[in-house]
Amino acid sequence: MSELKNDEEGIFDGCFYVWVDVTKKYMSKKDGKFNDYERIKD
Amino acid sequence: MVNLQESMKKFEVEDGNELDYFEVKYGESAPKIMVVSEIWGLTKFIKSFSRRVAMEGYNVIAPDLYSRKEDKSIFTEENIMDAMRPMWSLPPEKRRDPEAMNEVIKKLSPTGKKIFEYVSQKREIMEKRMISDLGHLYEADMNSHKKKGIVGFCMGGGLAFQLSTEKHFDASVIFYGASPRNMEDMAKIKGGVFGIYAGEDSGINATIPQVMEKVVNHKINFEMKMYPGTYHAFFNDTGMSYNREASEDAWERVKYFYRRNLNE
Repeated sequence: MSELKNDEEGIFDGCFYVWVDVTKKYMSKKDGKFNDYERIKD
Repeated sequence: MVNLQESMKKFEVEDGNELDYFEVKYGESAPKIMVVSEIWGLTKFIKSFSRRVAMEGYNVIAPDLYSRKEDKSIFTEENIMDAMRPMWSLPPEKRRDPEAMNEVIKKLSPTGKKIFEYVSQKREIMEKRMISDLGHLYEADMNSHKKKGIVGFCMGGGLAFQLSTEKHFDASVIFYGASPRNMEDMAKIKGGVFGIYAGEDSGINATIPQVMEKVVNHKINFEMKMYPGTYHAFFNDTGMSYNREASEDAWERVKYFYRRNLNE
């Protein structure tokens, strides 16, 4: 696997920012409440 | 009546840690499929999807990539969400502006700051570690199986696509995942790949033209389905952008793809 260049998105950071956009789009309509995902506790 | 057996198991990774994985067993001789999660980790959605896949006649494993002792309390869905929320105020074009980013980082909680470290200066370490962890699970639990598949969503889609260039999978399903960084790696793919994309997902879709070029150049067994009008993560029925019609259609296509590549 090649090294990440400075201006290049990686899988983890790229996905993080995709979700920043997704959550902004949807959750701003829900007063920013976190209620859509539940971490498995076991 | 299908009698599935499910349990949590452990596998060892390169740094000596043991990570958890969720296993759903259909039967000894059934093909094995690895399910790789979204950035949210081993969620209810991933577990329930794993069961759905197993019901179709497969043994399924789904690793918890955040199950190192030091990660467990940091990479929770709530903490990941908390790390994202302050970013909403930052326009995408400012994400590489250190000054603007510093202002946002100040608003992060201590765990949010730790997560952000892995999004910024440690992003390459994180990515390589995840690929390595998946590779270890493959070697420990899949390699001996005759027929092997993988499926990943978003972050897991990118990881699955990359791993399919490094390990042998007969069938790889990529749900709105990043393409391999070095596109030439695609020449090493041995099995079939099914790429599923949301129409309104410009970041993920940006590299599809290069993927198609490699598909043609290297004669890769590649199928693709684009769902116009859908958004990132449309398949996740617990999520905000769930699209029932597209999700149901994709599921039928995934089952058919696996049947052709894993059962025939």
